[in-house]
Amino acid sequence: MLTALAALLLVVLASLALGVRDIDPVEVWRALTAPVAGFVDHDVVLDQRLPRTVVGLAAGVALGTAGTLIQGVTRNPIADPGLLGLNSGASLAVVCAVWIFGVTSPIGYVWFAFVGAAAAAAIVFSVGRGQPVRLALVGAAVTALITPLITLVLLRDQQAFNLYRFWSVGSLTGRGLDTVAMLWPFVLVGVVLAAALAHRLNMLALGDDVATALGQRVGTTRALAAVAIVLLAGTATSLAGPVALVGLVVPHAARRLVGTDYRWIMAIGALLGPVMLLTADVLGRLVLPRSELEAGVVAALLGAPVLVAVARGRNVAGA
Amino acid sequence: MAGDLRTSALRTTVAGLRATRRRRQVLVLTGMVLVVLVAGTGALLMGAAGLTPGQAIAGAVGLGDKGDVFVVQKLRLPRVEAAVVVGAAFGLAGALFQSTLRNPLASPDILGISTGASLGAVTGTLVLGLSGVALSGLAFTGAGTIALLIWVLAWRKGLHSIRFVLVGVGLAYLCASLIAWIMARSQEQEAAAVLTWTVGSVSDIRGEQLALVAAGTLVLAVAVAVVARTQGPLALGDDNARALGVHVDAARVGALLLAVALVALATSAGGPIAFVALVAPAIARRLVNDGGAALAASAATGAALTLVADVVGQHGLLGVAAPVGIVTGLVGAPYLLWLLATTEKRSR
Amino acid sequence: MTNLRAEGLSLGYDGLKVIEGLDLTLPDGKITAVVGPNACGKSTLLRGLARLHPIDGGRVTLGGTDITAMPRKELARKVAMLPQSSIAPDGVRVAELVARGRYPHQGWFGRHSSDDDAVVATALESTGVAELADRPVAELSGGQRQRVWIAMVLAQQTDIVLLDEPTTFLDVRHQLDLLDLLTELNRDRGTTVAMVLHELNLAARYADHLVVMSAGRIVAEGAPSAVLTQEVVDEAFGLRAQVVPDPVAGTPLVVPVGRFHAGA
Repeated sequence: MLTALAALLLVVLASLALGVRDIDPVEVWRALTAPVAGFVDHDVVLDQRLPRTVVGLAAGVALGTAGTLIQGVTRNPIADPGLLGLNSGASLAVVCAVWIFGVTSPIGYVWFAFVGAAAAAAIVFSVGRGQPVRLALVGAAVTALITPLITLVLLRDQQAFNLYRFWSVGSLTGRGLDTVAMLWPFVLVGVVLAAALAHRLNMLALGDDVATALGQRVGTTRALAAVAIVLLAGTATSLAGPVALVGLVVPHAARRLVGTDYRWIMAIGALLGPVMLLTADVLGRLVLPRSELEAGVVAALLGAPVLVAVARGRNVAGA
Repeated sequence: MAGDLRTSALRTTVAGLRATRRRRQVLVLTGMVLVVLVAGTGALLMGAAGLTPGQAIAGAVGLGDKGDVFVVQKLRLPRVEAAVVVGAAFGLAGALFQSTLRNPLASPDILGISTGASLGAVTGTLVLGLSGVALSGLAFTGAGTIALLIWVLAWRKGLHSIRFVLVGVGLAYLCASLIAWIMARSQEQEAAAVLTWTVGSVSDIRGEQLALVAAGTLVLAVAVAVVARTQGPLALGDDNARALGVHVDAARVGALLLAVALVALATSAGGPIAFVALVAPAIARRLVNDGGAALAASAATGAALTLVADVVGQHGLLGVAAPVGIVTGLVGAPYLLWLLATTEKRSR
Repeated sequence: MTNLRAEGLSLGYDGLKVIEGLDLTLPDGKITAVVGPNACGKSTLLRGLARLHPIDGGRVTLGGTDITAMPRKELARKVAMLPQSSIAPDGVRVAELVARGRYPHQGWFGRHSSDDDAVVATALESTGVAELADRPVAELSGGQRQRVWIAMVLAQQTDIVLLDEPTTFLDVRHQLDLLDLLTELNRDRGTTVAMVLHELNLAARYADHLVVMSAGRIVAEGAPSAVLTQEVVDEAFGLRAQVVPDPVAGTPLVVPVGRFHAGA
């Protein structure tokens, strides 16, 4: 837990201090404490690095928590926001926002992404009726339904296609602090809900019958979890685009670190989410000379080996 | 004596029950074949050169007006055949994946094998500037490479379903991310062309390529029929299957190899026609509903789904002429959702 | 001679030895029960005998032949095993599940013959689930479901049947039903039965041959009345107990002492 906190602090600092432009750590500190207007180094830190760090924190916490909740509720180790159709719902809403309403600024399509994710989740959870296998299958079916719709819009509308090409990679840049200021309450509510549900997930992991026998209202747990998932995953996708693998890898890594108690998995997951996302973002700034790789690509490049390592471990969930 | 009588009556009952199950399978198969026939006939009749049913049939067998013969034999029939062959291959592969890995979500779309093919094709077009057969080859290689990678990475004293699926999902996301990144970095025109490929289309499969894909699919399907009998015991769990005399690892490796080969073949020709491999078996299993893998029914459902989707897409029922991969999801997913919504609640 | 025997058998998980150098012969045509505390290796032993577990040392022979030298299907026609981890696929019906026990008897394309139907019918009949033949397995009660699985094992038509804790999750009546059923099979068909059981007193009553295990080795084996003594129970389970004659069957009845009831 402490290690995870330390790791988080470290990547936050790295995210503020490192980038394409070399900035003296002292100047980074000054930028935060006593900024000088018009000084380029300070502007870079305040206008670029600070917002993307904050976006990364919020989206990372949201993704890590949402992923853990989804796997706990569906009891399916491959479930993540993408598989439940939330990312495709958000994507469809974003391309429609561009195509129909001509919205092009992040602050404009944030709400579309959010509503899209929520709508997809609503379908998935209502048709899935809370049964793990069915839930996962419905999620996949909804994705199968929405993905071609997105493509259809993309084939018709150049502008939407161009925006989507960049949005769908997943990135922390280009979003201002104002976006986070608008969305952070959702993350907060989601995280609080998730924390309250963690104990119930421990029972749920033993099966619906056992959970019921232990006095849990399984339906209520699922409904609350659904609300939290929509809040968290919807926010994350609105903020950073459909970032692949973070929501999937983080719960597995957390389980590997702290065992099977969801209270711990949830806490570690909430920390590992931003660690992973910000690490990806920082690495993306450093690997190419004078240019950047988007956080989404780096997260996938980081996440895939981690997932493989987890899958090869002795105690994979469900093995 | 009375016991013998009772047993023989029971034997008749058992045989009857088995016949009922078999009838249901045949019914589903027949239904799907009928859908293929109706949609196929429709596809032959519709189009810029409107044909009467008589002209179409005459054209199909090489009689009648030269122009009609050309339109039917060279343009419309190959497309129908391609949709059927590629769709059947995807449907069969999906059913094999799902039953062998005991996960209803395990399909080449989600395991990264289709995505690997796409990554191969995207790299081929945008980075290497390839087209045609070379592009198909690269797509095939992409699918094969990903499958091989999953294999190597998931193998740990045998092939465990959950490891295979997890590694596959991870690689799928990785490939999808790389595709998105390459597309974001390339010219608009080129990216748009790639988008069409990654959607999947059966409009350009004809002649030798069609014959090759059809023959390959047929050979693989026969091989599937040989390994199919291990699917029943495998569904009962690894221990039960072993106790029944199945070489579990060998059976799983064999089935997955065949599934991968089917997907690679179909994808190299038609692109990763989205979700047929996921949706078709799910539909087929629900229709047959005997606890089996519904392999034949899945192949037939895949063929029907793809053909219907192609007819819908080709004739602009969506406002634009859309490649088949766009429509398969639109046709199949709502049907699957409806099936899921109406199946009675079963406690698990 | 079709004896199933372990000779110097060693089994383990990931380098951890669970059983080392164990010798055991399942007496032909008898019921053998294996008992022992949790994690003593009794399930592993059964899995080793059925070739569900890789053998680290020694061998398992059937009628003198090493079972690893036999084709799996041939072994499956002679030895059936009902493991603990059985999955009934979604939507499968009773007769269909039982028919899957015919697998080792079927050829390349797995076609069912009318002989198969007869065997399935007999298996359904003798386990008393004939009237459930067309019901989905998922809808059955625990006791019914376990009978169906046993019917599947019977459909395998083997001389030897191994069962790993077949009575777990069953109430006491259904436990007795099941053990009676297995006894019937043993008496009527001469089937050799070997099972892992938790319930000592039922094991003592139903077994002809009792094997008591502890920490991967056999503490004692033989006729229950000779084997199940106060000393053996203490050695294997670390449990203070009195052993009295079962008023119904005359077999040994283990009455544990515990901390609060010092006894007479």
